[in-house]
Amino acid sequence: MKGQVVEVVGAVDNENRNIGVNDAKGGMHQEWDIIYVDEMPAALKIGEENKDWGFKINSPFYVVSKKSRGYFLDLLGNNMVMKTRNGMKSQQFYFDQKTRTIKSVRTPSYSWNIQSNGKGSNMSVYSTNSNWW
Amino acid sequence: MKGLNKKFGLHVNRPFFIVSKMWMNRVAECVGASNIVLKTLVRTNKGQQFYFDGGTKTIKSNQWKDRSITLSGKNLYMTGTNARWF
Repeated sequence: MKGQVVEVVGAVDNENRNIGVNDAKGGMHQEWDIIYVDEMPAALKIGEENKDWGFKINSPFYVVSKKSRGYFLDLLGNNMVMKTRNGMKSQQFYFDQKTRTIKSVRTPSYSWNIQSNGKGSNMSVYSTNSNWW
Repeated sequence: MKGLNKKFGLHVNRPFFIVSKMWMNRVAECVGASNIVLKTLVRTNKGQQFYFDGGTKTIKSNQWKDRSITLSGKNLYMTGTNARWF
C-alpha cells in the first residue's frame, strides 16, 4: 500500500473505531503521535491547565456575554439561555478532562451539545457522549 | 540491537503508544490479538503499546510479542509475524 497513511476509518473520534489505511487527505484523523511509553506525559490533575483546550480541569467558570448587560449563560431545562447572574449552579460549567467536554455543574452527567447531532444551530446540554462532529 | 533505527525512524524494542491527533487523543489498541481500534488511553494496558522489532523490521504488540501489524485490504490488524512487505 505504497503512499497510503494510517487513518481512523470514517474520521469519527469514537471508542472502538477501526483503524486502517487510505490515501492521504490531510485530516486530523490521519495524524498521529508516536509517544514512547517512558516519555508519556503524566495525566493532568484537577486545577491544572489543559493547554490544548485552554481550560483548567474541573474548575467551575461562568460564561459572560460581552454585550452591555453582561448576561450569564444559564440552563433553562437543558436549553442554553442568557440570564442575569443569580448564583445558581445552572450558570456554572467546567472542563472535564476525561471526556474532553464542558460539563454542567448543575448536572455533571450532562455536557455542552450542539443539537441535531451537530447539524443544528441551537446549544443545549445533553447526556455526555464525547461525540465530535 | 538498541537505539534509533534511522531508516525506520523508530527506537528498537522501545514500547510506544500510537496517539491520534483527533480531539480525544485516543490511542491504537490491539484487541484480542487481532484487530486494531481506537481506544481511550490506559497506560498500563500493554495492548495499547507497540514496539519496533529490529530483527523482523516490523511493529509488534507489547502484549502479544509474536504478532506484528499488518494489512487486510485497508484494515490494520495484528497477525503472526512474517516480515512480509507489500
